[in-house]
Amino acid sequence: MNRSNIKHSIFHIFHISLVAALLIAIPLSAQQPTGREIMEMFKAQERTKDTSVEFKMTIINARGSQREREVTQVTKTDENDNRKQLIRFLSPADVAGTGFLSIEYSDRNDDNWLYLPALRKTRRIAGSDKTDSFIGTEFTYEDLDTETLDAYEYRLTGSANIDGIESWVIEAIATDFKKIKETGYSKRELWISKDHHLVIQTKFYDKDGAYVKLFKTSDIRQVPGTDKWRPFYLSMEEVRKGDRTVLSMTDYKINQGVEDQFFSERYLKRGR
Amino acid sequence: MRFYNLVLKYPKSVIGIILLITLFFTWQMRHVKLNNSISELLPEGHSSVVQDLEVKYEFNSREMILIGIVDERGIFNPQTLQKVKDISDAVWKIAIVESADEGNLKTWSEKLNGRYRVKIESILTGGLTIADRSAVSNLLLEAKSDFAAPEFVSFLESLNLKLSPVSDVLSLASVENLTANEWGLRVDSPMEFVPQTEQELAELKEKVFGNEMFITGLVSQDSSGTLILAELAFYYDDHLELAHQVFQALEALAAPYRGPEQVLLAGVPMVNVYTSNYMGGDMARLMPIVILVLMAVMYISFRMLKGVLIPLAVVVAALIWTLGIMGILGRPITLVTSAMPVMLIAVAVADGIHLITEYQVMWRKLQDRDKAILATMQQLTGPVIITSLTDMAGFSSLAISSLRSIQDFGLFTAIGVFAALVFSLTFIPAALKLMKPPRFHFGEATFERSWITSGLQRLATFAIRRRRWVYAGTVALLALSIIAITRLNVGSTMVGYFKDDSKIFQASQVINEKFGGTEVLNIVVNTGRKNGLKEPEMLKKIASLQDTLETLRIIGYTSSLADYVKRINLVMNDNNPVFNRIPAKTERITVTDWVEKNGREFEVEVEEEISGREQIAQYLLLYENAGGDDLEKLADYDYSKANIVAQIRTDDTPKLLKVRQKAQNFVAVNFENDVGVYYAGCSNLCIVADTLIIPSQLKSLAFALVVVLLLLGLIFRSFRYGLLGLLPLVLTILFVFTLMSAFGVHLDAVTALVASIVLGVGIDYSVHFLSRYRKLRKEDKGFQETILEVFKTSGRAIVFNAFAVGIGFFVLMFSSFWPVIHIGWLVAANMLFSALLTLLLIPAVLASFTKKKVEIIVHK
Repeated sequence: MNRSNIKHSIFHIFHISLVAALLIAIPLSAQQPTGREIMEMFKAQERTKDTSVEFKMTIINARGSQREREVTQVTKTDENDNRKQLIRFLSPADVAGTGFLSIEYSDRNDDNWLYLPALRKTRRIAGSDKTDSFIGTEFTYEDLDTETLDAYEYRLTGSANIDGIESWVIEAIATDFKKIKETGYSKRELWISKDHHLVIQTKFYDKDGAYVKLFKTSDIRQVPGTDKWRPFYLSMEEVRKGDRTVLSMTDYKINQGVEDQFFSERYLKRGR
Repeated sequence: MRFYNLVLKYPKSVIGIILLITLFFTWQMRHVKLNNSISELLPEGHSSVVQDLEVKYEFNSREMILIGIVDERGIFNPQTLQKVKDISDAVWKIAIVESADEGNLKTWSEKLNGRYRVKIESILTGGLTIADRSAVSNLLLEAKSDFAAPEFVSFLESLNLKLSPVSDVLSLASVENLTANEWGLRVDSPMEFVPQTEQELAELKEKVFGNEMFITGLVSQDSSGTLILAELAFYYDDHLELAHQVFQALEALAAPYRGPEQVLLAGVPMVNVYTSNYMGGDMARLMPIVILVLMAVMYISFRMLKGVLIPLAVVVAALIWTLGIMGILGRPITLVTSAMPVMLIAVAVADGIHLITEYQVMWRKLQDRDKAILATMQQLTGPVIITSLTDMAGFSSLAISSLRSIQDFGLFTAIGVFAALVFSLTFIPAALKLMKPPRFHFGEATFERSWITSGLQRLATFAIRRRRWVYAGTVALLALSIIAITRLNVGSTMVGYFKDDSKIFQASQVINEKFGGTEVLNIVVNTGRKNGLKEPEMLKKIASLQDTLETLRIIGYTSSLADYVKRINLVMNDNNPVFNRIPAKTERITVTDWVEKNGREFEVEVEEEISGREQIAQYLLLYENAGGDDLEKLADYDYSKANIVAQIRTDDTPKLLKVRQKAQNFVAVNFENDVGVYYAGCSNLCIVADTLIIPSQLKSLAFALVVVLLLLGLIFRSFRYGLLGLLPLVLTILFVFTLMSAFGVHLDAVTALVASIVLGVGIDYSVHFLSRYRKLRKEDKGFQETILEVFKTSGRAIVFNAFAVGIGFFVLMFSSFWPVIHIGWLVAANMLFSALLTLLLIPAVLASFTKKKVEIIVHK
């Protein structure tokens, strides 16, 4: 065998391996991320220092009757990973000013306060169960909490187009029974959009495996002045009874530098 | 007569055809369903029924089964409380699984596409069990959103309901407790775990008795009992069969927990099930015995088996035809129409008895089968057709009633009478032809001398000779009836229909004694404006309406939005008992505030005036936020309508009416005109049913009497004979009511029907008696001779009929259900009395008039 031949062969081998590499690489580049990876992307876009939103909340029961409320909600996660939240009602007039303040500490029990303007009183209240309804809506506190990735096993089950949005379909199953008890859900199916990695739809299954709730989002917009995209319209339906809650954002701000003193008992009471 | 010649020529074909038709109707009977719900008694679309449905829908209110756990030594011990917990859990897990459902699921999976097939197969692996609840409910949701075949969706809906027939269970372990502690408002259950130690038990007791809303509502005042409330996912009226299955499951479930504690089952749906079981069961059990006794009495009368079998076959076939037609038309048997078989037996047997009696007489005379049959038919075809047509007209006129079940009762009884007429004119001659001629154990002479004949003769003589006594007796009776009828109690009670020693009666009694009461009256207050209920004045009125009602001894417990607001006000004011009230229009409070002074802040006490309405609004927001949802049963979504639930310790309608009147009076005085108040719930339906059914029945009865009078007048071509024919009927009806009054039997939807039976039976007696009398008179026989002849033939048949049916119906007195007992002895008494009046009063009156005529002739 002469050199050129060797050269040729090397080239040839190189050539083959290139083809082989390409052959491998093509499916590789088209290969789907894992469920966990998708959820990490979701988590990344979800993360903010603070958010301030104003929304209209419409609770519609199965008979079509409605209750409308306007609410502001400010949340902040401080440097010690304590999550603080202040919720205040703006309307209707008879409950305007009513507020809830909660601080979830990473290392001890949560603190919760309630302020009722008609009593001019702030009182500490018991921390709510995660499965309790969030201010009378179909959302539970758990539904509004951030995703704890380590508590679940995520499995990508396919892709789907939901209302024109290409999404991954992910099945989330709690890894231990304690989590099921705490959240009230044995399983969730999530549709995560491929473009902005947002939840487009979630189906919730209760601890017995019965499909109980359907969460849907739409009207996805970029939050002004940020690279974050957010749904401005959220709905949660109790599928068996047919009760529904619709949240429609009227104002959305992210990372405004909300100060810690905003989350004080005094601020809760005086509004300043 | 050509018709009867034809019948006698082809008797087998006639019977064959009738048998075929009867078989067809027997097959159709399978569609007949039992429905003892109250709404079935009321006219469809009646405002109170519509309103009741609206209230049920608006407040998501469902029927409750009350499970009482009672131990006189007290229930606050670990063992009993464990039972409370276990029973609550078990009730929640009740599921009705039948192998037929599995089969149906399999059939559907074969019909449907792959996706559904996979899911159904996974449900079916390991058999259909309670573990498939979620899977079935998921499948139902999926099928609905896919717009799958409606039959499939409705199949899944019913399967889903069978797997989860109980929608909620309220007990110490699950009821909402609004607690007062340093943490503020909290909604949780008083018994999160079964207490074991003395201290835990004391804590639970404190929690329970610290909440007014539990006392008598959930736990008896003396802590000797507690309730578990099982809310059904369906309405009794819509799913009778499922209801029965659930109650069987409940009975089975309760049994092992009994001793030393009592485990009692009560509540309106429970009573409904018992009612339909007893009503249907006792009727089904006792009816054959009634027929047997009837046969025995008839055999003694006729001394010939065919004389028993033929009329009986007519009755049974008439019943089958009628029930078959009900099945084809899809009409259920209701509390009212359940009296229809009784009615048909009493009425339809008469023509047969008359025909057989006549045949005996004719055969004796003619000694030839065909001739005797023809002669019998010649003599009686007229009266049989007339009595049947009058009966039919009388019953059909019940159809003017606005109540469907009374319409049904009238129309179907008329159909039954028509069927009996057809049999009398075809089947009876054909059957007589096929059977051997009667062999008599005694000759003509013994017949003349038999005690019945001689008794009848004496009766006839008495009626004519001593007619003054007959009149005096009639007038005395009339006077007595008028007094008695004014004292007649009108009203019904479902629980009271059961005997004192029955399970349901005893359970209801204990639960009514210890807790709020098994009956429910809903009082809906419609403020007419959104958030109207948040106004303190409105809530105060509601609260004082409750207080007014609670002054009645039979009201055990009431609940409304006002109770919740009071409770939250108490809790939010640190359990200070002063605040166990509705907030005032304005409340003055001292609050701590921060004041800035010289750049520093101070805490100061400030007195402020705040609006009670806002307090209430915020309390309610707080309640919702704490996860409470029991309130949805007491207030509508936009707080414009309140539902006041009053629990009543009896279901006696006159007493229920008193409760409603008390509420109505309060409302008239205290509520403004723009506030609408209306009533619903089972109690209200019972009241409406009573105030509607009884007058309607009496009106229809009066109308039927008028129709019968006109018809009789037309048939006899004489208004006077019509009136005479009607006279015993009217008197018998009065007599029946007198008996009811004397024995304290209430006039209700069921007992009022006995009066209709008089109508049918009375017409038969009058028509047979009068038409034979007139026929004989036309043959120019003397008055005395005619009457004696009528007594020997028609009179004899009337007495046989009265004794046979009367004694037969006495059997119903062995029932364990009061309405059946009442029907039994009232029908019996009415049969005998109707016969007696016909045989005494008609000849007496006839004698009076005849004599006058004779006298007039003499004077000329």
